[in-house]
Amino acid sequence: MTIRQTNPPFMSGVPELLVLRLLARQEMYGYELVKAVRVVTSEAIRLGEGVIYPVLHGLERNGSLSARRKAVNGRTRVYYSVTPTGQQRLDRLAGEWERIKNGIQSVLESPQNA
Amino acid sequence: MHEAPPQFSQLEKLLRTGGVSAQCAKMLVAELQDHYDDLLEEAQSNRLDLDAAIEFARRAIGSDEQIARAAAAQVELLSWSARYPMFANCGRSLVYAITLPAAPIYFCLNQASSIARWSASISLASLITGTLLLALQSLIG
Repeated sequence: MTIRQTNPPFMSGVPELLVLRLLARQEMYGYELVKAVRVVTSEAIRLGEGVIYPVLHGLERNGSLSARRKAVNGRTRVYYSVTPTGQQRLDRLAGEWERIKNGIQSVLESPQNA
Repeated sequence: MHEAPPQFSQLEKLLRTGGVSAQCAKMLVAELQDHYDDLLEEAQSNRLDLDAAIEFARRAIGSDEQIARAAAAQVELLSWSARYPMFANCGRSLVYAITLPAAPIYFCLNQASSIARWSASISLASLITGTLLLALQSLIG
């Protein structure tokens, strides 16, 4: 019998998944990214905005994101973008999320649970 | 925008207490301050007065505790000693074990001239006292 892995990223990986997905489209700085999360999820997901920075820095440290400083209107912004390692991580997390989503969907749609 | 007082003075301390490395804590606080300034700008452009804008920005960013918890959950942000506490404690003990016996030697080397002066004074005093005692002894005898 194979031992199936549990789903640690089930909820804790959600900010990470969102961040990687949005930054894979285009590079952004923190404030821009938080706004994008709000818009893309139609405000369904509202994170404490400060919480996004530990996620960004963690991903940068493990090589999933790269950061560069850019001066915009007299202020220095830190722009983040996804690296090839980050893209791999994103694919893995997205696959995991898809599996979870399908599992929940099948429970919700099962006639026995109606 | 800069009439508002700087925020997050406590957060850096909280982050360090939670094991986040000094460099990461500084960078996090700097970016949060920028984010806070952006929120203030947004609020003020929506015609909120400064107090209301500050409240809006702080509420949107979340509490210091919430941010510190999120940072502590990112292993990559933790300092080496917070990531491997057992190794760090062993290292500290080793450093103490080496420095404690070395401390008096270091002190002596550092204060060599004073120690030499004290030794010379004590030797001279002993010599004078001994000579006096011997002289008295011979006078009595």
